[in-house]
Amino acid sequence: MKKQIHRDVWVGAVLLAFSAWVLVLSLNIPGQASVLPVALCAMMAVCALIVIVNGLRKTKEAEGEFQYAMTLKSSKNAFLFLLFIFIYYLGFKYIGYWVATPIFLLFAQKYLRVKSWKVNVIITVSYVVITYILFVVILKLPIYKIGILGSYFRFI
Amino acid sequence: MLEYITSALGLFASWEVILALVIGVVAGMAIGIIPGLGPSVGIALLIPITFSMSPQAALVMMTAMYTTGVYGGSITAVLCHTPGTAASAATTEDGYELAKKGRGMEAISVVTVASVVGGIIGALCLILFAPVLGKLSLRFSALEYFLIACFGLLVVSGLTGKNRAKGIFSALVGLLIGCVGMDSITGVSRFTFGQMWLEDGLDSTPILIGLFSIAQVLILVDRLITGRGNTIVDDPSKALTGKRWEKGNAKKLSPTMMRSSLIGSFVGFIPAAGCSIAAWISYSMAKRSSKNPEEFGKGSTVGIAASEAANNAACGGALIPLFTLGIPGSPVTAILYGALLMHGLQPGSELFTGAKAPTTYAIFLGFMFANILMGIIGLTMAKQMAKVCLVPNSVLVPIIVALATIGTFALANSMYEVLIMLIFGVIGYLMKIYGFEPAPLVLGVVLADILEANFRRALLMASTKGGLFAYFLTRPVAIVIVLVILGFALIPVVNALMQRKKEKVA
Repeated sequence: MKKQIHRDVWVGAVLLAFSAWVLVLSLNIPGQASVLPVALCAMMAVCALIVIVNGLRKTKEAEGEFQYAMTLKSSKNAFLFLLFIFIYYLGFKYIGYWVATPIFLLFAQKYLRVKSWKVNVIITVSYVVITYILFVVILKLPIYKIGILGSYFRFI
Repeated sequence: MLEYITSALGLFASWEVILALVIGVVAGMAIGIIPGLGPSVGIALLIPITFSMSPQAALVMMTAMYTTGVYGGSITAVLCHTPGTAASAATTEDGYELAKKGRGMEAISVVTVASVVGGIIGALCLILFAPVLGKLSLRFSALEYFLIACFGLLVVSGLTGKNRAKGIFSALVGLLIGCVGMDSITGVSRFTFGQMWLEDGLDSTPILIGLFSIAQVLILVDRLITGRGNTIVDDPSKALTGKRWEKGNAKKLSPTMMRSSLIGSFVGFIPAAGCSIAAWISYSMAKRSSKNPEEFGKGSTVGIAASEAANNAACGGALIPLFTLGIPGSPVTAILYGALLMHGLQPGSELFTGAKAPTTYAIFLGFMFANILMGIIGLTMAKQMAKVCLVPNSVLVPIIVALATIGTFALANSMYEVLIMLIFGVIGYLMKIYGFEPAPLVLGVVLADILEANFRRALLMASTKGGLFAYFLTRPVAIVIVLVILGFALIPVVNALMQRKKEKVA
């Protein structure tokens, strides 16, 4: 059976590549301002190498398959929810917070298995009312400037 | 001084001041709970409201909001892994783990008691030593600030988790993120990729909310969808059965709370150091000097007490240079500076000796009583607050996301901040998957500017005084800080030697 390589080896390689990329950027900074970034990149590269060496040692010591508490593969639900959050962000930016938020709350609660629509709606309405009073009425947050429908929710 | 305090008590004992105190405490706690909204937002909001109030009532309300805002941020740090402010990030480490074990009530109680102890000691330092300590803070210049930042960096070694190389890498990335924007000395843009909005650099709060809240939200979603739990606590049936306060806690936590309060007061009075650095230093100090360092990060009450006592003590400490010298060391104290001037209180010796001394001491007393009132409310509400642990994740998760979004937007009324929060949410989640600790990264971001700018300023100052070492020898405060750093670095070595000696004797 082909022996597995511990993932820290790949992680270390990515960190090393990242350090090299930032080093190239840092070397283009003129004058004294580049000193700290360059020094940090050098130290980051050393740490990345240590991560690789540790990974290789773990690979050598391993007897069976590696068991990881979390993996990218097992996190697809989390990444899907992350996509919802990003769509919510776009909704907030281009439509407006007070439209995007109720839609997000209703949808996210349903996705996360809140079975009762009644509970779902009550929570959503309560959240929107409380945060509207706090952020718009009391704190006068200029959130109405965001999104095409934002100005409809301006408190006078 | 005693006569001023007696007169201050007379000023304090009015309905206007007491009402201002209560409103400041309750509003501070509420505003601290919301991620992104810290005491600075609340105090800024109070400025127009308090315009027609007496100076003592106005400043009591604002300083009460300052200390209770920091405390409020720790409640969500414990219950939702969502620190309201950067000062509460250190509390997240152990507080959330303790809450997960169903000991949320105890976690809230420890946070409350430690915050009260820290707040009172900070207030006592303010009342008793403000003029003396104010003069001392004048002795801090670039070299001393740089050394304090080095002290903060040393803390990283205690936060790296199981894999030290990954922890240090996180801290270095944090320092690198702190370099983003216009260099404060040469004015050169660094890592801005031509984006104007990056010229001012990245604020640590959206980064913090992303790394802690959004990343944790994603973990909760994964647990929920895969049927591994619908609440924060591992066993909901035992969530509220735990004790509010374990029997031996007072004895166990007192030395840590006292030490952390003193560290917090000291770090707090150094302009620009602030509550978050105080909390991290105390947390790391407690871990290093503990007989059971392996308990830290797994729900240690000592860890919670250390960071909480320090961050509230730092609030009192931060008011010292403000009142004595008019030096605001943080955004919150800068707003308070404006409030002082607005109410005709010009910082300086006049506030401690002249006709305005009773007003000054009334404000300080109000600050102390705010901490006590915060403790009463916090302990009374501990059980109710701990019930957050029982709210299903299916409800909690969307609310945390929506609140984090609006709270982060409110920081600078900018969508860029929200975007940064999201990006760091992804980074935080990837860090969790691959075994990186987020705490060193946050600390790196917080320390980067103090570290680099002050080091370069110190070099410039030293160049006219015969070099860095010769300059260092002329700075007694810097020498003391270096000795403290060396002592701190040697704690684990001394502990190990003592342990070995004990084992030999046994």
